[in-house]
Amino acid sequence: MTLRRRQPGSLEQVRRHNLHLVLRSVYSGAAQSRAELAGVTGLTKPTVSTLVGELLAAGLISERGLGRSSDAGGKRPTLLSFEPRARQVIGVSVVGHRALGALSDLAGETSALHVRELAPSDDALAEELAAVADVVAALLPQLDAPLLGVGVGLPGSAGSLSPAGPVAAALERRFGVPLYLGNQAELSALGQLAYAEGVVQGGTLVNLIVDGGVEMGVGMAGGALHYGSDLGELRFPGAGADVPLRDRLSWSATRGRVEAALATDGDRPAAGERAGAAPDRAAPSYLRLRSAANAGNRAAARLIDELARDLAPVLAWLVATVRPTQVSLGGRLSDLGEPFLVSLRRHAAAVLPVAQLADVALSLAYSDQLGAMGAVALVVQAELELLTP
Amino acid sequence: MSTQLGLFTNDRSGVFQRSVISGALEVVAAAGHGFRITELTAQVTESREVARLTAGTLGSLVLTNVLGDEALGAAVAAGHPVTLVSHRVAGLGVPTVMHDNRQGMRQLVEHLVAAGRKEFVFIGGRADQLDGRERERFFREELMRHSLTVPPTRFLAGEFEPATAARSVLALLEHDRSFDAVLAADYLMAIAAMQALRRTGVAVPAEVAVVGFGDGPEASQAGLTVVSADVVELGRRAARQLLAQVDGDRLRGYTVIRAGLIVRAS
Repeated sequence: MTLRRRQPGSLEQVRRHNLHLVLRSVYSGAAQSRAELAGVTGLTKPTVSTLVGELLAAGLISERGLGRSSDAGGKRPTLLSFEPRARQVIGVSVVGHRALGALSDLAGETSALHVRELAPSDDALAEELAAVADVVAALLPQLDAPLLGVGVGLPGSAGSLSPAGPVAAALERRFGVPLYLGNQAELSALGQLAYAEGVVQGGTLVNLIVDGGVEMGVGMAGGALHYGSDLGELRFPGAGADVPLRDRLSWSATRGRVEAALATDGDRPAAGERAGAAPDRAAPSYLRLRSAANAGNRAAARLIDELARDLAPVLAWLVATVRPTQVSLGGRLSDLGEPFLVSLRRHAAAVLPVAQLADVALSLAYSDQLGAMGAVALVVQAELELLTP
Repeated sequence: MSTQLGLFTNDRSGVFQRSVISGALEVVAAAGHGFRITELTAQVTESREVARLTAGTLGSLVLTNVLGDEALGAAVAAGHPVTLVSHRVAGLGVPTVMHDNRQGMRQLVEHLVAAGRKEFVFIGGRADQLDGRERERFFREELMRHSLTVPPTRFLAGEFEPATAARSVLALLEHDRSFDAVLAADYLMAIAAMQALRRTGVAVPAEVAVVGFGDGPEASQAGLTVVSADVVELGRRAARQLLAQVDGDRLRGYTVIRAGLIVRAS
């Protein structure tokens, strides 16, 4: 859980809070001039002027010409605008078998990504952190502005585990900037709230990631609050027997079934593939499964329905407890697409009043960059408090 | 001590490599280095030959696949910094800078789907180049994602050569005129396709929409919708990565440069 720490206010903390309040007001467009800032923030005009001076000196805002004078006439105000490119942030998430990092500006605009595959290792966490360090090192030469900080999303509970602590501190020393850790599902939810299109604003977003495991991330208040949890050990009674979710839904658990379903129609080339055209054509994937179901492969359609049935209790339980406005499905399973969501909703309706489910938007979050963007948002929020309800 | 860096190319006057080289030169010159440019007509696979060619330089920028994968791996293992451009070697050994082909193809397909296009023609690049392979592979993935089917006859040979692309389109038109979108693995092939279509009386974009990967002045003149993959920027980023390695960083993995959709008339 990565809630912002609030310590009782020393003078320095009050000043920092006010500085961020002014910056956020310019960032969100709530105020465009010093006079408007005083009105919006409730701070005195001299205080606002001092803080604006600091932000100008830091390059985080700039003066952009003159606005119109007020109805009462008088001097035309100097307009202020936010400078998203004044700092850059590196966000890294470990998802599937790789660490993916994004080099982003303060508004979530990325200029480069870096990918480092994970090597097989007995110590998964050590290898993940080594990959994260490699990704950060590779993005540093690509910086176009000072680095504000590094955010890192790790799978499972590693994002909040203490063994990561000393390593995180070592990374912080090595790169000389603040480093923030979170659970990758949690950060994926945050990434969607902060930067993705098609997200219902003002509500609670749950991101369900089904890939190497089953994880949940929750974001609310525009990304200012977020938490994540590993659901892999949960056992729901009923269909699929009494086994942990991870053993029913993770890719390593389903891969064989996907392969078998694809084999039932001779693994015909999907969607216009000519034989041998793509070197990895034969690799089973959820995209191929969906395509096969589309083309009339009944084993494929049945497997998709079974996966929806196995995941449905999780959705029902989430909707009942968290009361989200939107649930987005991420990770490899999201490649099953819209038909899977329809199936998922139908199965969930068997255990939850339809009305309760009807209010929840279901969506797909198949971008593998959301975790990295959430890690970016984590840094931006911790350092500058730009996100607000 | 030498301040020379090596740069290996097999087509230094072609649009792509010329642009990469100009971007890379900009960055290394600013850092006080220069390039010794070696143009090779055939891929060099012999490790000793690669060692000879890289001798006396601080590091090498290698465009596409002009040096063999194993020989490159050996050079890196021997401590010679290498950055690859638009090519990848299996494993973690040789760092790479390339365009984001996945995101680019996704944006192009989404753009066409949003415009209501369903009958796609794909003009492929070269199968011996990573960009060619990846763009086709990600195009196929996007088809599956959108539940679209493209018959094998609509996967056309382009080889990253506009003339080849134009010939393929004309040959297709002799027996098939019922497609409504053409997606080419690079923008020069897309322009050639657009011209071929218009020459035979097909209205672009009213009847057939045309889009391509990458951007240049020709694309903007032709009113072609593209994902902009700034090749000069690719060269700059690659040079930055190489310089970091020359300064002692041990880098692993690959860096991808974002591509952004530019909607024009086509």
